[in-house]
Amino acid sequence: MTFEATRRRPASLLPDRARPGMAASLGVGVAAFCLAILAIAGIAVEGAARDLAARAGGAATVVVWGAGLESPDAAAARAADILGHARGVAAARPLDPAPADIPLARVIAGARASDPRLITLVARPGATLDGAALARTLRGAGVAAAADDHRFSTSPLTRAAAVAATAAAAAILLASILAMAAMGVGARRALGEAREVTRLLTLSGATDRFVARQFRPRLVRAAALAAAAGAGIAALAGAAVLLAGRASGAALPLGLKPPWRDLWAAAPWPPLFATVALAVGGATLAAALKKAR
Amino acid sequence: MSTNAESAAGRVPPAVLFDGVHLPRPGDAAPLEDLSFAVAAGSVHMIAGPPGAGKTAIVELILGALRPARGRIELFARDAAHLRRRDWPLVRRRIGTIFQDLRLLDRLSAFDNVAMIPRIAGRRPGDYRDEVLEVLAWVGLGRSPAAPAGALNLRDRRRLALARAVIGRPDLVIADEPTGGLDQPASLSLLRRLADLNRAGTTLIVATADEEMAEGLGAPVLWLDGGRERRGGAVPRAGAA
Repeated sequence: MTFEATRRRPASLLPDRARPGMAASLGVGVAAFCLAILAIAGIAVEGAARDLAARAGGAATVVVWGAGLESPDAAAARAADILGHARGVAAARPLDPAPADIPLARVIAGARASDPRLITLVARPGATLDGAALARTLRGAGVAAAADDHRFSTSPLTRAAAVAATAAAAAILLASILAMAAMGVGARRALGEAREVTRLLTLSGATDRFVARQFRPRLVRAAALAAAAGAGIAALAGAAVLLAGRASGAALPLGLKPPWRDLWAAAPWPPLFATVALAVGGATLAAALKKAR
Repeated sequence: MSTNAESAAGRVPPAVLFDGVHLPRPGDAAPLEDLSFAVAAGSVHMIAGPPGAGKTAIVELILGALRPARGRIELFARDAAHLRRRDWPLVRRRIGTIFQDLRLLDRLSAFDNVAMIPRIAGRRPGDYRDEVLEVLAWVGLGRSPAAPAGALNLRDRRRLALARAVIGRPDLVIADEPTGGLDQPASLSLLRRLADLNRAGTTLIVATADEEMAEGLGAPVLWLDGGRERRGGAVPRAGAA
């Protein structure tokens, strides 16, 4: 076999054992798993809350009652006609009177509606109905009315989703710190295993940057692989949870589709961790090499 | 071996100058005390003494791996104490070193061991490949560039260390026990190559425990014993260069 110098890529100058090690990989993998699962859960919760709020905001209930000489049925017919032309409203339909209307009307309109009539409104796609504005429109036309745009019931939901998203962001920050610490430990371990070679390189005229550059591919590779493993397991766990939810029928009655796209939240972590490894590993190596002189 | 006459005449500053250098050493090793010598550019100098006398410590002082407690070291007319951190790599690239323990990267091929130096200097593989192969051929390893350093015998390992020391065309080559463990023909072959280098203008410092070899080369000798200069005269004192 002849030696083909022109075809050869420069070999790594570091010994094989100069790698971040299992502990660092495990730390990065666990951090990536936590980050990915939190991101998936955070995005899913926030998305579900937004979806529910949008669905609730896409409909409204208006209560009208008779005033002066106008009967409740006439008031309801006139209100449906007016609201049918209101901005953002796709359809306004007066409902047949039912015994259950009384307590519902009292929740919306108070004691004023002694003989209430209900009108349901459906918003145009993408539009949100504003109860107060609708009621003002009717009152301006001389119809005694009150409206419920479901905001009262959806606002706690959106608040809870915001709290969950903030908690997930804080946990993501903590997991990121864990990942950075793991990469720092890994970089120090790799450097420790290559002490003799780094000393040889230094005495041969290598700059700290050159020495640090020898470690980079290994740090990046180890971090990316560990993060891919952690994020992959998180994506599988997320998929299992979605499938379980679908099977138990929790999502379907609410009309919610399993948010498979949320699993993509696991995807950014391997390249992100590789970048973190580059930055943290480089800084750790630079500090350690400086101290070693 | 020759001495660069111009340098000896004082017109060219010495490649290495030690002036009253003191270095404490760990353990039972005696400290280096009050060492003063100058190595003229283009000359050959021997540092001789028994094991533990301080030869390798001097090599490490020249490379900046150790810092003296007292005294002054000049490298290529620059005070080592005033060299900034970013200056050291450039100074070290002017020095090729054959370490006493060789410090070869056993896992790597002979080619890659030698190529390490141009890589450190920031050269691209396409620029140095032919040069590395030429230097390997010059030391007699032209037929085994792909052989792992760890698989070579001692003679070839010393040749490889020489190739690595000279590939960067250094101004100064330091050889710490270059012939240790070699038989006479192999030693002569290696010394002949060192002589070739010196003829081409490279300054040589050879550290050896072999007193016969130190005296036989006819070069100035710094005799060390227990960290002190044992007897001198042949080596120019600091300030004399």
